[in-house]
Amino acid sequence: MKDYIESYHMFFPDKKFRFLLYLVYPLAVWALLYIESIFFDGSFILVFTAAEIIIAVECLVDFFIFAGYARKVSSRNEYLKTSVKYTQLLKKAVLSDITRRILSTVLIISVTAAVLKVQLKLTIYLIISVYFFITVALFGLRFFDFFAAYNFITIILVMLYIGFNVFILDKNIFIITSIILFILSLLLLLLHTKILFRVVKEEYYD
Amino acid sequence: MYKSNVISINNLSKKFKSFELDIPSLNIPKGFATALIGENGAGKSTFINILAGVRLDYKGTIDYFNGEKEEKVIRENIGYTGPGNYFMPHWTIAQIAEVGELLFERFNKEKFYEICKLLGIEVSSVKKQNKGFNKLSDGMKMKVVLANVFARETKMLLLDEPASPLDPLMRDKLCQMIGEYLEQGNVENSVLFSTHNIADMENVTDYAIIMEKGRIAEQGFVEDLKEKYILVKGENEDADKVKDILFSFQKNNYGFEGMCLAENIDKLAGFNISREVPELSQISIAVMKKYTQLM
Amino acid sequence: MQNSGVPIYQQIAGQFKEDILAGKFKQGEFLPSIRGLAKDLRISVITTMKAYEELEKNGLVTAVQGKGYYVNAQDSEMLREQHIRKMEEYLLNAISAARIANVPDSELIDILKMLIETEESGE
Repeated sequence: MKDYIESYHMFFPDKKFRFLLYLVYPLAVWALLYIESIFFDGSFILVFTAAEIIIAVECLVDFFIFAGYARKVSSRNEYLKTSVKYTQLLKKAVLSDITRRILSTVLIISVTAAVLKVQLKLTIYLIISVYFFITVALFGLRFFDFFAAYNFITIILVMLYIGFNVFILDKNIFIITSIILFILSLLLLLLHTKILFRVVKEEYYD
Repeated sequence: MYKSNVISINNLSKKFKSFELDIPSLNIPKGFATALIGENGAGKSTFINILAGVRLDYKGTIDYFNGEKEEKVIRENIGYTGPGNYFMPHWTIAQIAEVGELLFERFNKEKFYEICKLLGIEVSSVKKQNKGFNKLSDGMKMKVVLANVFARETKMLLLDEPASPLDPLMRDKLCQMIGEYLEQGNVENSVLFSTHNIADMENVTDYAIIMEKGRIAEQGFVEDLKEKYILVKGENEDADKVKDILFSFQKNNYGFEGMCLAENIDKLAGFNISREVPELSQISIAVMKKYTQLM
Repeated sequence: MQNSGVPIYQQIAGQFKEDILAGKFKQGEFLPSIRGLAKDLRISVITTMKAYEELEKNGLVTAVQGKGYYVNAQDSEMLREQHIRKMEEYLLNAISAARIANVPDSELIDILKMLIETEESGE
């Protein structure tokens, strides 16, 4: 457990980042929702806002952790490459990242949903759809290592997500969509992780 | 006493668009400091990267530590430093210390900070330890990189251009650190470092490998090379007559200077010339010049 | 043809030779380790090795595999000769200094006698 977290932190920009990600991020989301709830009178719609914020934050956060990791760059991380533990540590870091994202998404959405008394099936749908959209985004984003690309794709993605939700809400097909998105997320995660590790291996070759 | 090798290379080659690294056979002696001398672009970095395991796209075989097959044992016992993208760009000094413990079994965090302090890197407070590596000057960066590699317990150091970004005082310190490393190992520790300016590192060099255009132009123990080559100086009136006997030759207004192979020195009998034991840097330049002409 | 400059290994070997003959190293005593000396003198290992090999060639030390070099028993006749040679060298220096200062030979001998007397009475 400890080495998973330590491996993960290896990719963090600095110590302040841990504090921001683990503590400030969820608290800030809730604070924002609290302010909004004054205007929306505690409507369940706010849980959608929470979902959109999570997508935006998760995408932007990833820029500081794994930006560019899916693209082959032979001349980087020479020091890491001299250790036989490098791939193993990266594996632990990627797994920690996936887990951390699930945990914080579940935490933020379920607490918000509980406070707003949102239906269980909608809550589950939101958790899964948010996770799916993030997974899709990171699949593409990790080929870039400049912030503008992250910014641009994040904005487009959030807009797409809003549209997607309107569509699903209109058709009222939460359960089936949840199941499909869950399976797709798993497949994407697997494929993405595979690509990541192939690239790291290839970086030992020109 | 010279017999044992820390690394033995056979038929090593790596093709690039512009040149080819081609080393049919090479042994790096155990218990010594070996200098890899060559111009920029001679293939030194590629060669060291291959030995360090950073690059695996080569043909040929490399034997480490007298037949060690276990990859983990090999990598745990080799410390590498390079001038390129060595650490992750965002790491702080504190992170480097933490990551060292994750990556290598015999990395000593206390020793890392101790060496940092010794080399004049401020690490006395948490705030100073949290300074970003990329915010440091080139010289400071190299010091952190060196502290990091010397904080590990290893049997072989591969240092790619360690002296280039350092000031003269620090170069001297580096030579001292290499000397201490060799002494601590009691014949078990070896060092290979590359340089395009051997003069600063000459005092610590035992074995020299002179590389030119991806090939090894000359190699040997420094004391042997200093007997193989003799630096001769003479008057310009003799210049044309001795020119062909000499290995390398240079003329100016005051006379000529050149390197003569010891086996040919008798041919210079009768000429009014002076003989000197050359410095390694002078031998290196003569060999590199000669080799460039041949290509 | 002339040869200028004494190689470092010969300088080091020369220094050790002097020290051994002067009795600074006792019989059977080990010389500093090769890598230790190289570190202390800031010279390469191979140069130190060559210096020690030079001493071995001169019969002053013996190499023991894996342990280093120990000092041989020094022939007392050889030691005496070495000291006589040194004495002659110093006396020659004294003579040339006397010539420069125009001190007649008889006075030089007197001074030498006087110095011997003071040296003895001092002890």
